[in-house]
Amino acid sequence: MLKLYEKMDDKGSKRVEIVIDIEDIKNNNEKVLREIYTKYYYYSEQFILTNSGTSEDAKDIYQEAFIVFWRNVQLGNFQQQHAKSIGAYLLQVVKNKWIDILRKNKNHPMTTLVYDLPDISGTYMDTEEEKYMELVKKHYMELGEPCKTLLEKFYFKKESMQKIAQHFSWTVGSAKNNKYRCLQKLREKIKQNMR
Amino acid sequence: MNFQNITDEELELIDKFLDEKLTEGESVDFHNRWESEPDFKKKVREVRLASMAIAEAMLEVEMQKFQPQPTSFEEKRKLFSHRFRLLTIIVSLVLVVVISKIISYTKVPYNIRLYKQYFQPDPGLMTTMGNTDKYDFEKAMIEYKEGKYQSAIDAWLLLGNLDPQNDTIAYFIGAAYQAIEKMDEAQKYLYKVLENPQSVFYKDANWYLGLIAIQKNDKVAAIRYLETSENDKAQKLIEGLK
Repeated sequence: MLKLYEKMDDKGSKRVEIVIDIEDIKNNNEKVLREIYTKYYYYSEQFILTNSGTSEDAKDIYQEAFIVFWRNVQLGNFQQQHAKSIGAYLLQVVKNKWIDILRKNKNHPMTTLVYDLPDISGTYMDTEEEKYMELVKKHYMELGEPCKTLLEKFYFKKESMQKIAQHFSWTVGSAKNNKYRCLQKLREKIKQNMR
Repeated sequence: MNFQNITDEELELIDKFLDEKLTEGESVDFHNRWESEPDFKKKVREVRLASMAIAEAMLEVEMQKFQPQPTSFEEKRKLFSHRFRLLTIIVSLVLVVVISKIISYTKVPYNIRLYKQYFQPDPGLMTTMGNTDKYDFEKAMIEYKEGKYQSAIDAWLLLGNLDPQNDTIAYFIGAAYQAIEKMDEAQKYLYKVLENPQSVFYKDANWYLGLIAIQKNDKVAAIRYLETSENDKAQKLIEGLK
């Protein structure tokens, strides 16, 4: 959940501060993800639009940056002590990604680009891991039901096996078996693709 | 990526590890295997990547729903630039109109500008439209007041033929001609009014003859008529002529 704290600012006025619990991001709490996504979107959009980009570029780059941020949370690279810097972090990833694009396409002029943070655009994953993840994503989206929903509930929504079993009117044992079978099915598709 | 054979028990153990839900006993088992079985590390790595990729695929779907729609920066910029363009066009048009008015105004000779500045048609007389012998005169007076000067002139000319000494008719025929800028005709009828210095229209006829003289750029005549008119604005107008 988003935690709201009332703080007194320098002038003695009350100010509400939103503190994000990193665990909520780890658990893919939709409300928290949405809040973060929309809260910092315009800063990034403004940066890209004032640096030769379009609205569509802004959307694509921000989504890539958001994935980087989310992955780093999942991998434990982004921890609770960094929670107040999420906006700065996202903007820096956006800047770095956009600079790379502008460098590749030298026709775009650059203005007011500032390197004030170390390169954090990556997630310390190697190419093989990246490639594997892309294959999983591709084949997962092509999975039929109930596998797709079952895996979504378990790996994205972090629902318990009891809750998943209840949803499908299965026993917990069946739910566990089905989850295993579904993952095996997905792995088989990936294996075939990699051959 | 080397695919390992992962059993259902192994998957459950790895999932629990990734969710940080291992019991104490399971944790010991997990770490023993982690240390002693190189393939187990590969299995953990694969499940971790697969589970993250599944979640990431769903996050990408969710992000489409998160995308803010209204009033993006670019839309604001477009709106601003559209409004700015519109404002620029309006300002330019206003400037063009104002400048062309100024240019055309300054091109008009000074005497004509002065004439236009001071000339106002005589407001006419009050009409009652009673059943009297003045009916035709008053009917024409209504037309005069409605700006139908030529109709009024035609009617008054007929009445004037019947009563050539009528200074009222002569004055208003002159006034109507002046309103439609037939200055020679106007002068002709206004002169008739001057023939009778006792006429109630004597001073007004002088005023309008003074204005006609200005329009014809006859400064000397204009000053003479204006001085005789005793009109409130006469002195200022005379000063403007000097």
